Amino acid sequence: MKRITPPVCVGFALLLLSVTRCELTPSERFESELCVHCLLFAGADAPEAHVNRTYAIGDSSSFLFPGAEVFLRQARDSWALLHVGNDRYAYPESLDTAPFDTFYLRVTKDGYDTVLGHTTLPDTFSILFPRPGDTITTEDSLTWTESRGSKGYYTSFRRETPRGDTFDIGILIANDSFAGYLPLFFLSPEPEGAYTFRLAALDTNYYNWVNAGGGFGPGGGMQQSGTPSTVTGGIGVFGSAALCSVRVYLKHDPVMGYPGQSPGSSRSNR
Amino acid sequence: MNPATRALFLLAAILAGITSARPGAVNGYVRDLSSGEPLAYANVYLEGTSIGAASNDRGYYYISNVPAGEYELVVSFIGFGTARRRVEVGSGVTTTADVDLDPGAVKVDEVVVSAERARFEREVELSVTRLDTRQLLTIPKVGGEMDLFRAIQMLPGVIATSDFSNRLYIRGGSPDQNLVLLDGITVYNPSHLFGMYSPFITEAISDATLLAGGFPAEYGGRLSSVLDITTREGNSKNYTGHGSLSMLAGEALVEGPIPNGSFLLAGRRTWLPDALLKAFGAEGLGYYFYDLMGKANYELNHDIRLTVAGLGAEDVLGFWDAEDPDGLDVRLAWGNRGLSAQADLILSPLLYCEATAAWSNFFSNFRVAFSETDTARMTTDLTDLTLKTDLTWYAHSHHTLALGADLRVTSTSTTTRFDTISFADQDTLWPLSAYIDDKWEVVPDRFFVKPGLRYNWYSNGNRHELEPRLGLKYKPGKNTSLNASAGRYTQPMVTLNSTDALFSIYDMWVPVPDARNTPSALHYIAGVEHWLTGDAIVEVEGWYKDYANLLEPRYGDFATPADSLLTADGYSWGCDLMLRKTEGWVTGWVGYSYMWTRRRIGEEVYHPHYDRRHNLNVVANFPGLFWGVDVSTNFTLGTGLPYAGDIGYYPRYEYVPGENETRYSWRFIQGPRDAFRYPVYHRLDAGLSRTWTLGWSEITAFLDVTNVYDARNVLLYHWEAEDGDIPERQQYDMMPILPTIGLRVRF
Repeated sequence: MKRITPPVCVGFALLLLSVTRCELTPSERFESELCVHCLLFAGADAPEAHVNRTYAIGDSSSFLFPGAEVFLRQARDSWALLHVGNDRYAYPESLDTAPFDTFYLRVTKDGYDTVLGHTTLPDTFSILFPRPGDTITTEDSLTWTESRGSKGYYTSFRRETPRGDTFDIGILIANDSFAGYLPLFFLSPEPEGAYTFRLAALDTNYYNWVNAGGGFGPGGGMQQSGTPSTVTGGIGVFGSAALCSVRVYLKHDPVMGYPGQSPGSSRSNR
Repeated sequence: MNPATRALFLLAAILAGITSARPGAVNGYVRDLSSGEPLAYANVYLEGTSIGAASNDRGYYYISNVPAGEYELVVSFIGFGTARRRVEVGSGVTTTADVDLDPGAVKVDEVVVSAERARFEREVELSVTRLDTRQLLTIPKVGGEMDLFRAIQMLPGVIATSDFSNRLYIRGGSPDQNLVLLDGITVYNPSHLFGMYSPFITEAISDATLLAGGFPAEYGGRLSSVLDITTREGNSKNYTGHGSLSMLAGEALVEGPIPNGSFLLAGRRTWLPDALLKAFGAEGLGYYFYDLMGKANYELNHDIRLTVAGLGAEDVLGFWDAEDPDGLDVRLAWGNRGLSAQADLILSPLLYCEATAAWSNFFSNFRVAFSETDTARMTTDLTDLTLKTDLTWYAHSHHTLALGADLRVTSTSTTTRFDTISFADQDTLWPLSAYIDDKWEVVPDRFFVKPGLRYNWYSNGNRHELEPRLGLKYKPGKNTSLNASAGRYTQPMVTLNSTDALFSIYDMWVPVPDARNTPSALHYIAGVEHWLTGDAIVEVEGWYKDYANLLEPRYGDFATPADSLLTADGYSWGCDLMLRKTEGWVTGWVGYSYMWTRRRIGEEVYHPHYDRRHNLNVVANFPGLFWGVDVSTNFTLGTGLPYAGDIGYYPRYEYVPGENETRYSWRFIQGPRDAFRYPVYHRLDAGLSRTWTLGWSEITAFLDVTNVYDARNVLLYHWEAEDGDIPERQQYDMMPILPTIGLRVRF
């Protein structure tokens, strides 16, 4: 036993030394780049962009980000978006943003790479069922016409209570899955009441941006890692959307209609 | 001489050896006198000669090439008294001598050979560790429950990535590269409680053998390792059993004789999670798991033995609207079921046959009921039917051939149903295999060669895969052997879920898509074994694994569709050292591993999250250390595991249709994949147990403490950002100090 004790102790000490030296960190240096968000809506729209930057993990952030040059271009027309506060840049007037028009975005700022992106606006569309003011049940389905040129739909089912609280379910639907048809059974746990259903048909850029984001918590609550991007030269998105919404009353009772509503305005697509 | 002629010549020589020589042979079974259970790897020899054998895992032995005469047959096994029997061997005749060893007849000064020593003397094996019930029960329990996989995690070459996971990362392989067999049943998802425990009841296990690499041609279908678990056969002499209660679960086991055989039945069910939830008023939430294991065997006659074994294990998680019986009700149940029937046949003294039919099923059932009529349901099912035959042919005194075939059909299905809409997806795989191994004693007791070949046909993609294997063993001295092995391995099924997940409910298995190549690995292993004393052995092994055509899930995704799996290759290499002591005032082992693991997906080269450079495990058990108290301890020390650390952050804007406006959240930018490492991991567990004999029963009280000194090992880091501030890193720790008590009653 005595013969092996010194070598064992030395070996154990060497092992401990090597073990404690094994916590590694990568040597790559973090380089800041521009962070851009710009979404155009089909139809007349006053374009707006958020321009900020990425921060190293040891830096404090700021929402004041002036000094960037933000240009939109479509065919031979171009527009400069001006800094209007914090990291917001906007054009003061509405532009004619027609379906299938292609817009180009260019953002520059000293010390950063130039950010470039482009988007083609999806076609407008309409909700077939329910119609505004309808009473529906969770046995019904939401149906809508196709928005050509879109990759998918960002849907929202929002209820405002008399106390002012809001409730919102957001679902991202790819064109190749449920497009144009969505059973509403998932609203079964939710209370009866007036709801606003809003659908945003998204171009490929914005669909990918939302899809990669994995959800959203109001007020910056949800945080996830990953840097999906649909622009070049920085992080961010330049996309476009077409909107459509309808306000309905959700009732769980399978007998359609609700007090005070004429039976004629109750509809169902079951 | 061309290879074909040479092979024919060899075969002719073997056959000539069989037919021309007229020595006799001795065969039989070695069993435990008190319970009738077979004793695997007992040492059997003829006194005064160098002729001997080790019993196989069914207790059968065969000693060939015995000159006619009268001999003293000596059978020894550690923990049992040595048995001697006079046998008369006739010319060309096989003499049968079954031997029962008495566990109560151990003499203090007797030199007894352990199973490990018997394997060392007779087998050509590398990277093999066998743990029996006795060893498993002495290891400190985590959360009051002994777990086989937690014991395996303490072996060299095996990595645990968290205190909350019993998944096995063996020599740079991911958990889905391990073949887990229970009495011939392939267990696809051996985990409970999101990976905390395995579904095997330790008291019902006879032994578990881990083949960490270079495994023989008998095994296939996985790239990294094999864990072969055998359920105890039960006591064929007396009715016995035990009941135990830990802070997590209750357990019961009964065993006893049946005509010409025995049975064993064991069950376990958790009670703590439900009790805790109720105690804290968490209404509308419930969880439990249960396990059932059983085995029965029937000896038709001396040459035919039939065995039936089964496993049933299930986790059930539910949450529901406690105030509304017709409201939301979510149930998730998943589990393993399996049944095997095995016939052990002595077709002739030279030919031992194991024929197995096995059914294995993994199921999951996820049901969400929004109301009485609105439901969504997703079910998955994996069913595996196997017919397998293994023959051991004691062809010649220097050649023992193992050959067999494995016919299997594996089907997977997933059904999703939302209200009236349903989707179904199913797939079937036919892996058919045949193998042959020859253990060739080139120079008696000194130099062994074990060439083998396995042929697989996989129906997915109509693939034919040849897997050559080779094992070498050279014994320069009585107590030392030099070993080497090499082999090719392929795997026809893979899992879709991320191996990076901290918690895992279960793995989703699918056949390798037709358009992809079969994942494969080459193993190269070399090592030295040396017996320091009669009960202590030191083993050193260097190993290298070369992986090709691996199918990896997309990084960060919970699960990846089969056709989107990424193709990867890579390697792992390392060195394992193990010092093991099986008897005496202290038993256990010291295991140390040094490992490197790399993967490459396209241009991205990374260390996977289980690439631990140094890993040290010390398992020490002190039977009767003071006042009759058995003391056991585990200590683990390991360098930090890789992770993808955050290096930056930015405000991420997104349009929210519900509010019809744009909102932001802080998002973090990850550095290179797995480029950071967590701090050093270390943990000490300890257990105390004391047994009292009270008339017809034995009562054992035990106290186990997990993480004795409350080490704060890092589970993960999480960054939080506030507007205008520097982000703060939050640390989430693994298991804190956790003392548990329990009681076991044997009768």
